[in-house]
Amino acid sequence: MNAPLPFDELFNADFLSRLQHLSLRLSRAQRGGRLAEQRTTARGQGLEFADYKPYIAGDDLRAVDWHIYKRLGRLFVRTFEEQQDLPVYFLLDLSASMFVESPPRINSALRAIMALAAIALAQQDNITLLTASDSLEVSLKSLSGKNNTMRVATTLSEYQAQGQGQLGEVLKQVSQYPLRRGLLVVVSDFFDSAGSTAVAQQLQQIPHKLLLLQLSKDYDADPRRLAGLSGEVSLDDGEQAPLNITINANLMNRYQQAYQQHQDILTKFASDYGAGFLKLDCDTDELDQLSDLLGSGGPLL
Amino acid sequence: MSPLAWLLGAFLLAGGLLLLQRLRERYKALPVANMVLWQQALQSSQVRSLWHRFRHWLTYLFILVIALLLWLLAAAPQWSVNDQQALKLYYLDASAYMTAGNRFAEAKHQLLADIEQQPAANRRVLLGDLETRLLLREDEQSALLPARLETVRAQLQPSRFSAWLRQIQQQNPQRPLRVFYYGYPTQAPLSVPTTTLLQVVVAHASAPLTNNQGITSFGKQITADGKHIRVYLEVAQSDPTVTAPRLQWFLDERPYQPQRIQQLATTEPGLLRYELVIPRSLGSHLRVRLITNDNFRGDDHASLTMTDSTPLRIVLSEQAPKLFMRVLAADPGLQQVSDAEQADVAVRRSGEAKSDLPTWVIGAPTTTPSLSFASNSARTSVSSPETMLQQVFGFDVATLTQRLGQPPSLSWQPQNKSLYGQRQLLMSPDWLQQKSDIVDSATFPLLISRGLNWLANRQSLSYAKIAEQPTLPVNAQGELQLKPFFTRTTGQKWQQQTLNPALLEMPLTALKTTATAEALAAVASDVDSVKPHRPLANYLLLLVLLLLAVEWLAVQRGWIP
Repeated sequence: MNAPLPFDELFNADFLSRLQHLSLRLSRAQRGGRLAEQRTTARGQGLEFADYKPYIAGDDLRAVDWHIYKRLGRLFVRTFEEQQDLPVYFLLDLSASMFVESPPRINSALRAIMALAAIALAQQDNITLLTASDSLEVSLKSLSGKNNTMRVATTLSEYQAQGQGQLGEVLKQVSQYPLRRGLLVVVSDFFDSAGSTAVAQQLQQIPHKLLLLQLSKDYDADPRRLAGLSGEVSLDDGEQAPLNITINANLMNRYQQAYQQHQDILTKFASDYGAGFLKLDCDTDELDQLSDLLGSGGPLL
Repeated sequence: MSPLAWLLGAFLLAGGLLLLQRLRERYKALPVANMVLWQQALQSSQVRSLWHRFRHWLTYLFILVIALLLWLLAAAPQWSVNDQQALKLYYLDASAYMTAGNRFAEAKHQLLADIEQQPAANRRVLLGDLETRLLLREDEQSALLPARLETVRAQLQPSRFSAWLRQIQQQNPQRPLRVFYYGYPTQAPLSVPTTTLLQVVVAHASAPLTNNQGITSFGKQITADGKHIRVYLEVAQSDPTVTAPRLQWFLDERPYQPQRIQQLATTEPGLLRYELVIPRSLGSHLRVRLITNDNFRGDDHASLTMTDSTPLRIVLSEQAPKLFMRVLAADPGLQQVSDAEQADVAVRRSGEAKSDLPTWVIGAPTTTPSLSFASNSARTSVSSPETMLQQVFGFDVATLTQRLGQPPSLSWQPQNKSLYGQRQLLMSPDWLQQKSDIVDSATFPLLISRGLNWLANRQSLSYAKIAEQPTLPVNAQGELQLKPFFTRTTGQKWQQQTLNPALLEMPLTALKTTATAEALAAVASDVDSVKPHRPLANYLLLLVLLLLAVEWLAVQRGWIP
């Protein structure tokens, strides 16, 4: 089992500096948070004009629009959008399959979470680190402020493989967990023994906005690129008993059919339910791939 | 190899290869995250079906086909004996029956006609004489056969076909053989059961002897007073209704008319027995001739000596060859004595002390096997040593040449070297060398026996016991069965008394020497060395090589793991 990235590689000045121009934005965050940078439907303090409303006793007299009063003889006050913080929940798959390969997929997962968490903390959002093994576990809860970046890196570097990877079960627990609505970033390979359909069904129950980061390698789609995959092989994902198979063309074709079906389920879910979906290639730079998603400055979801 | 054994071997090969295929499965450990997808692929690929469960069917097929082809090459199963697989042996019987009329010439003619139509491969021509000689090898052209057949003739000897057939069958139980017989197919020669591997075909059957009459026994007994000799004669007739045979008697080769010939009563039809008493002083050599018209003269005359029936006494020197001692032990007509005073003939080497007896001398080595005769009387009656060898010893030069591997040197010894006018026989030691096969042959003891008798001036007797109708008296070993002589006792009852005849009076085939069996074994083993012509084997080998090349190509290109 491979060891995850050390702290130094996560809390790295070069790495963090490349996040400066990235932002994590939702079109509408849920009201009820503290003041921050995310647009919400809440009216209150802010700079962005939202609407007029009739003056009632107690309203701030500074918001009275005296020009309207002069024309109409009635008092109206200006209302502003109140920008609040966004609760961002990271659900990291810590199943053994994330650690078995070389380099392991957990490395890309940790870098992606580190990047997204740093961005969220920089824009005063609220982050929570959840891990998925055999059950849901909360590693860090409700952190905000850039000063917590190092704490996040420390936590991430301490993760080890846990459990058999019951992602569907964990997603069910997440949907039942009392959390303020926000953004749930699921970082996983989405290879679940219960099947992709079961995972998609559980994702439908999640009350949060969803961003799915699928950690992939090139040989997932084309197994011929995997060195050593010929003849008799014993496949081992670290979670179940090794699978002894003999590679032949027929089996290759059937695997590719299974993989395509797996991908179709995930992309269809993302499309139908408005979830973000990013297939993150673990063998190329994660930030470059995230830049395509976050670099425009516009709302992500 | 039988087809069943071949199939059993094929199944064992297939099973062994299958086991090896299983054993060679060694899985490479490969860590992957997407194992669940491989599980799904495996479940959907109908792994429990027979066709897909055996994943290396192509490899297995290649190996199995190659192994089975090699197994087919090595085992060469015999599903049936066909003309291409079986070794064809053409057996020309040169036994006594073939001496009658032109039977042997007809058989040779038929043999030549058949051989000309056969390809040279897988056929061999044998002469059924005393030792089953080889006339034509499998790789020799048929054109050589006529010249070789010209020199052979039938002999007064029983057929050895049955014994030869039995022996060759015992020594080659798995070898497909087809034996084509040219001779007189009586019941005895074909008594050997044939199998699918051994088939006997009577290619030429000589006409049977009809109305045959022959002398079956001719014996003597010295009367109690020692002055007379009682002679017994037995004549067999194939047709009992034929009139009594006419007999001619000769005493010392002069016509002789016995005063009284008594015909004895017999119970067997066609068997006639006679008794006559002759004074011993009348002569020394009695011969009887049967006048018949059965066209088979082999059994028409017999002779015996009247003068001396005591064994010939031989004294051997210390360095005399061991072979002489063996001959003396085997021949009841010869007796070894230690005292030279009591001996009739001496045997010694040239360096040893001389004696005044007729002597067989083993001389100094020469370049060629030599035999010299020294006699006062023989030179006048016999024109040449070759004739001497032929008439007195019963051997022809061609036979000796074949046995010795080179022609012997025959000569008369100068008269002055003969001591006291006695006969002397000088033989070079080359005859006794192991390099020639005459030492172990069945004929050499006869040569020694006749030579010793010639030295003692004893006349050799004609062959008296030859045939009975309808078959030759051959026992299970293929040897001539000597019929017991009979003698008369009191009470008018006939009591059989077996006499052990001397080599001098025996046919050659009655000699029980191991040499004959060894000669037969040599022929049989030689038969086994003839490899069958198998053109299919070449194609099979070619196919194996082709498949190996295809497999190598497939492995190189990754078509098979």
